[in-house]
Amino acid sequence: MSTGQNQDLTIFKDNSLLSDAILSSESSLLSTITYVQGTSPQWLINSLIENALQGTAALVNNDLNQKIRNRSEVEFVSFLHPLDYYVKNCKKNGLDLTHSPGFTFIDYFSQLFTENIKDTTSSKKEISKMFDDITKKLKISNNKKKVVFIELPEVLLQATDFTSDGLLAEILKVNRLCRQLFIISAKDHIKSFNLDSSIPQDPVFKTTDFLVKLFHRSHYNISLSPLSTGRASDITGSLTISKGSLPVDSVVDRLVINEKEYIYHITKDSNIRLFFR
Amino acid sequence: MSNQNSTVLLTRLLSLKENSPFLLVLDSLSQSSHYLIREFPHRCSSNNKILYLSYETANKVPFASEFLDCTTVSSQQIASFVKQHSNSTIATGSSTIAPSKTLVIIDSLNYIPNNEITQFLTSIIQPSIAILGTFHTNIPQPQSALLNYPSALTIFSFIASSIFEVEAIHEQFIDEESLENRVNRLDLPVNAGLNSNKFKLTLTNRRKSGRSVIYKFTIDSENHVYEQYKASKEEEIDPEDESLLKGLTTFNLTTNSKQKLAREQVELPYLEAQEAMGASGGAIVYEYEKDDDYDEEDPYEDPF
Repeated sequence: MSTGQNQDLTIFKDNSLLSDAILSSESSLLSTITYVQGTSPQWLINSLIENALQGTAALVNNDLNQKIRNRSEVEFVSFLHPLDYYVKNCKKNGLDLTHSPGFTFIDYFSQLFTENIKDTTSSKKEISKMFDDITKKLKISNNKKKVVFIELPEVLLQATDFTSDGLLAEILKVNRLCRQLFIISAKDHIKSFNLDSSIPQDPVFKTTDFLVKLFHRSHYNISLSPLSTGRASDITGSLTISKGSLPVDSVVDRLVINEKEYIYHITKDSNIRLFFR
Repeated sequence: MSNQNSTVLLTRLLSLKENSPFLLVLDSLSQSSHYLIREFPHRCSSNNKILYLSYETANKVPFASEFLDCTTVSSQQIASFVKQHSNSTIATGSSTIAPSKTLVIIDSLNYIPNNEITQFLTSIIQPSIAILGTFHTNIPQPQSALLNYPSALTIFSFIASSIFEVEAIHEQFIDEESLENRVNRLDLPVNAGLNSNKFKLTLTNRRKSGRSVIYKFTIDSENHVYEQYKASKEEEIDPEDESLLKGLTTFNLTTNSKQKLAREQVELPYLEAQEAMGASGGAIVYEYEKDDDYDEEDPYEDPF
């Protein structure tokens, strides 16, 4: 595989990752980035942040090499990592997030159960307040070109009494305020996702309900999974870009998803090599 | 009903000309109801008003006269919204007219709690209203707190006057079982014909008499063409088709016409006996032969 031709990662048929057509539209798109243990989407998220902020994607697409100042505003909400983690990781992409005016980070990881949610058995009010803070920050600037990432929101379902419908309603509010919303979620089968679960209080049921409903409102889905055939030393996993339940061209004219399956390899020096499958 | 009549029925349902107060659409992750729902405003006339009740739609839909975000309001507010807007007039150019029929589209019925379904539907239903709701069948069904209480899907299917079930017409190279397995793990395959604007529709229409009729269609929502669904060739394998046996081994597994004729002429054993004696209504007929030694006194001797 190492002799194969490296491919550029594109999401849309106009050879873009985050298309200009989306950013300049009046519509709001929703996409999912789902992964299982062993295939962390970190490299992809970094590239998407880079592409949203300055139009490039140095590690995954050589054609996107024109820097555009303040291409869009990025608000990143993480339930899994603090800001330092992203600052450090995005350095390889040539980004300095601490001095990036369009980048806002909301850390819902460091003090989630000490400050943000004090009582997990009655968390509705506190979680609504957390999402209100997200929407307030989105309303500060008049720039309509906004991209929002929410990483691992299902933590709220697994650790508190909050319902999946409640979380989806909060996410819908955020989605309406931005052009593109990415929900980054884990979908480990049985452990966190199981369609046969039926007990409403069960965290697996809540997560499954949340993810399937999320897929029903998404415009495109990005999925990362290990090779189904087993482990290989020169392949980390496969990445699939597939159509969502809602067609993209129903909200953004003539924009078409480039449905593709790639296999990728993250080398020891954190370079990403992509190949068509 | 002929092919043409079934398409007429579908078109009448889509244009709200057929009396059907609750139209239920069943969709899944492999084929969403998006394209089918768009066929309704395409077929409806300007006299029809469309109210959109949204539980999961982020962008306002262009065809809806009114749009309500149901995530922030109570069911009473939804009922009064429907009541208020279904009776209001429609502005057409310089004049205003009363709507002939109002279509209430509910983007997803999955958000209505199981025990509030009937209450919710009865609060919005009126003679001048047709409700069109989508139910996502992939979503896991929660166990009811009440023992033996039916699932939401059962209740909706029971109430519905017409059921539209959409399915993807997936590519031939994909095995149906592995596709289902992948979709159930949220691992949607690419270029497999999923969520396409051409899909298969199974329509169950319930008449007033209670009799339901089922038709299958292929819908091309891009050109708004509806055709009766024809099963793919794979499903119509003729068991007598000997071409399937060719190329399997070096042995000749087929039969020629002469061999077929000979096979048909073979007389199977006891066939003649069945004709002669089996004619007496299924009774067991025993015919004594000359060497039979029959003793009337011996009970074990009696063959019956």
